[in-house]
Amino acid sequence: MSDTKEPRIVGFLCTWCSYTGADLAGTSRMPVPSNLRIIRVPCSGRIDPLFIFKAFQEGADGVMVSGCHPGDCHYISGNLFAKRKLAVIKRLLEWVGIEPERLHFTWISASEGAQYSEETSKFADQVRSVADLPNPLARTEVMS
Amino acid sequence: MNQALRDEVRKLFETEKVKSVLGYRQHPLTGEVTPVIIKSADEADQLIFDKRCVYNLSRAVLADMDGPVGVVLKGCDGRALNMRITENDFPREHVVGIAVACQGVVDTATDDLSERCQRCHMRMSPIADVTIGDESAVGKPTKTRAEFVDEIRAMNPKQRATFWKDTFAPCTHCYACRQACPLCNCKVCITDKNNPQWIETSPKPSSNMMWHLIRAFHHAGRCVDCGECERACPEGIKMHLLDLCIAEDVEEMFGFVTGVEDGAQWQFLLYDPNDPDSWLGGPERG
Repeated sequence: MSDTKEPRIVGFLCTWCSYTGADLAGTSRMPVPSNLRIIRVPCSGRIDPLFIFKAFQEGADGVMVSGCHPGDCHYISGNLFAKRKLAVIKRLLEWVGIEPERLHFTWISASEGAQYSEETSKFADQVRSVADLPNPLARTEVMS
Repeated sequence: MNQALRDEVRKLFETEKVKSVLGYRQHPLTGEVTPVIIKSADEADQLIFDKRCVYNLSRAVLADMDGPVGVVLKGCDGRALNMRITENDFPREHVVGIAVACQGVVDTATDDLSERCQRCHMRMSPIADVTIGDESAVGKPTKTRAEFVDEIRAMNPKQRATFWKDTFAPCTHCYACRQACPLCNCKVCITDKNNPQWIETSPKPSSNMMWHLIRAFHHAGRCVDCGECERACPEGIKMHLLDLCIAEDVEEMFGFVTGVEDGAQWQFLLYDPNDPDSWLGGPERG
């Protein structure tokens, strides 16, 4: 391993598809990057922009959001609402100087353990490439 | 124009179309233009409208006011009012739109035509029960919103981060921008919630960014570019630029212009199964 910083990644996974997909990847003994900390959400539509902003503020180098494939949402349309919201969140963060590499959105179903393994590994590498750059949202002040 | 406005307002009171009217007057002592609520035809003579009428009166309409309420509306005010009606702040019957032919208003700091009016593409209010002045004389925008945003677009991520950090640095978290905004209508603002506390109350780079980001997000696709946030800011922060940036994207993605169409929902409350995945990622996106 080189001397680049190991990134910290927060993953928001929908409990119905992606979280189960992550579980499958684990039980199938597929490699998953250890940088990723998973937060389980009931639906990708539950993602509030504050979750993502806060993750960056608290020192995450990358944030990943994963939900069910469009059309497969447990709540019919949660992920379709999420798509519009997440698109704007991504653009907004780009405007304030977050590199697009730090954010990743994907659809992973419960049976796609292999895709989960592949996507997360790829994303971890992608974040590693920018992890040395300062993250403009991160808290730089000393906590009082 | 002032006389026509006064006559129309008097007529509205006499025909009992309104119970009160929100408008502008010149303060008899200070000479400043201030918002005013009048409750009878006799008071109509103090109403004025000119380029000093910078305030967005749609903010002042409350659901529990004695209605119907007449409101003197510029284009931006009318769009904000339209959005508030769509969001069920009050029913359409609650307001009587008195649309004035707006030639643009001044920047209170410099006395020149304000930036937002230079790029304003809709100077007549979409809510117009009564129209005052010559609609054809309102003039065309001399600039586009993109011209204001291009400055940021040209920066790389690092420059952008520094730019916004410096821009927001004087913020004291007084939330005057929120108070002035006609569309900041959350029942309880996220900044007032303290369990969990999403936005720290103390001003520092990270919490400044947090507040201005969430503010911009809540206004993505809702901001009518009335510029009240910047006018209200005691520190003179140009936070409205971030709203413009995201408005560019919202218009590009959803093809949506706020408040122009009656009853047009906020785009985040809708979805289209055919929304492209390319919005979310892929190498072709900038």
